[in-house]
Amino acid sequence: MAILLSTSITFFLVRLMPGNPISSLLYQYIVEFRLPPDKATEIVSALFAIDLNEPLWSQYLKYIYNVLRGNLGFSYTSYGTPVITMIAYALPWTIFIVSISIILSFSTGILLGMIAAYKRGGLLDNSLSLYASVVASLPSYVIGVLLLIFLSYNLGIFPRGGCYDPRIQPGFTLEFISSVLYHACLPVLSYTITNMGSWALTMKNSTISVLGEDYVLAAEARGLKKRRIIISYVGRTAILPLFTSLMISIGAMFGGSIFIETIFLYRGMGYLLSRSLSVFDYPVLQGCLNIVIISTIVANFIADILYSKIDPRVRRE
Amino acid sequence: MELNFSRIVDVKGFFESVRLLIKSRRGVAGLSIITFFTCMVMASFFVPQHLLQYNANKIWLPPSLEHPLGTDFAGRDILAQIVYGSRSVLSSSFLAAFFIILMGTFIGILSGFKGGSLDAILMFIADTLMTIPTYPLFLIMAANLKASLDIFTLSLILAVTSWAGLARAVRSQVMSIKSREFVEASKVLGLPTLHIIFGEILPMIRPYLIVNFLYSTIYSMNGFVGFFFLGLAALDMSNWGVMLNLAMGRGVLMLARSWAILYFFAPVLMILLLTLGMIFLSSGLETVFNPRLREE
Repeated sequence: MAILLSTSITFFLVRLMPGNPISSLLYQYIVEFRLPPDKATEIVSALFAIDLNEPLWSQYLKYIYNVLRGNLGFSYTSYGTPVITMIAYALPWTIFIVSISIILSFSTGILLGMIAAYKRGGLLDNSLSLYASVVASLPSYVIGVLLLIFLSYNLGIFPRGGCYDPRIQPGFTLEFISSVLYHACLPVLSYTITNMGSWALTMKNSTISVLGEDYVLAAEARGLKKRRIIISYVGRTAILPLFTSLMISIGAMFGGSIFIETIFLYRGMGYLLSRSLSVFDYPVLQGCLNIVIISTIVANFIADILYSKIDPRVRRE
Repeated sequence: MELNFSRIVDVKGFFESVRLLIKSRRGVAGLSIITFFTCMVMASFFVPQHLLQYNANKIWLPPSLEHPLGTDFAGRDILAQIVYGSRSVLSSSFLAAFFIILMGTFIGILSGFKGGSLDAILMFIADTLMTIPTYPLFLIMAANLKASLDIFTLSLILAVTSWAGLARAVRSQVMSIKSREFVEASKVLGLPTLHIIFGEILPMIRPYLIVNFLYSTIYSMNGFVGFFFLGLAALDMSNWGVMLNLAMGRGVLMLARSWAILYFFAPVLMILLLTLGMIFLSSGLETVFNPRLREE
């Protein structure tokens, strides 16, 4: 349902909005390249996988049908390349980076938040709230570029960009995998630095409210091991509200990949999006937007299933 | 029946809040940073134009009395660019934040107050907008309108893609306020709906909206500077994002040990300072609105 809505949004964006790419491309073909109108219509229809000669509603239905079959049209700047192949190359890189960063920032945030909740008013607690309020509100591209300047250009610890060393043959070899991981360090780091603080802060507040519950006191009174109380009595309950915000943040991270991947020249979806935006390659843009939205929704769906595994209250009988 | 606006625009209460704000340390810090930026915007009207023009004799000058932050790759004064850029950055972020608050509040109140199927439809749209990444959406809408792109449209587009979170929060607050006694009482008294919304409900959520306005400003500033940073709009020299973009593109990072790095760091510092100012101001305002947080 949500996928249908989002593909409708992209259809609206490219087909019906004032100044939309289809009419501007048509204009360009007819006025600048002096093509006859029907020929121009044919080319543009093929590029966008939308048949312009039909009535609007059937255009819409055909478009949805095409998207579901994976036919997203052809690239406008590199002629003859189907959009789906470009995306098929880019998508795994983004999913790789984003999933690692989500797991990393979420787990470190939770850990720090719990420690801060147990040692309230301590050094970690104070520095954490300062960190979370300042760093978390800085845009991710600033942090990305700062990391790039210091760690890669000045100190030379990390590579300056790309997904892997171009001298290495891609393949399932140890050398290639280590190169991929090495190149993923900085993007993951900049994601993690931006997102960790807010996780830690939310986790802290959540933990503090759980610590006041009676059953935690009861567990302590029963003389259970402290470790067990922290992990399975406090931790499990305190994480629950964070899971819902995790679902929302997945979308934000896919959106943020535009900056991170452009800065580190990481050839994922965000890089593809910003490159095609700057050359006005609209079929690719439209495809990217569709795929990014669909993958966010799928990620949300997975998180939803995981949530019902963790929270017994949500589980169906 | 006439609307009683004195409850919305409360002059005496305003001075009282300012007095409380000045008493809190963070509030003073935030206010002074915001004042600094306001002065900067004022000063932007008096920036001598020759400082912003190409000058081959002054490429990459180190900081001096004449050019306090040095010059860039085209011999333009960096300080002048920062000051000149503050106008468009600040005005567009404030405008966008205003639009976000307007849309979010309107939809939130409509949805929370009316309820029913309208509520369901609006909240379905809001949920979808919240889960899908809206920043690409914003970029594409903005790129569609590249010919007629001004600050006003850009802010409007940003607001259209990012009202959802606020609307949800406002809706839930309205729903809890709606069932309180004083709202019930004014319904029984037969007061018009407009009065209930503007006179009873809006004053209750006003503190939340003001703090949210500050955060929306940070959000939209990041969005706009990022938009220009990616180099997607026509390059006019009036934006910090353009400076960042050119700094990246002109290999400032390669010259990282020289003074050229100032060209990159000046806008970053400005963003950081403005963000800090907003955060301080909002936490100062929280102590004003929430008496329990006040330091005695």
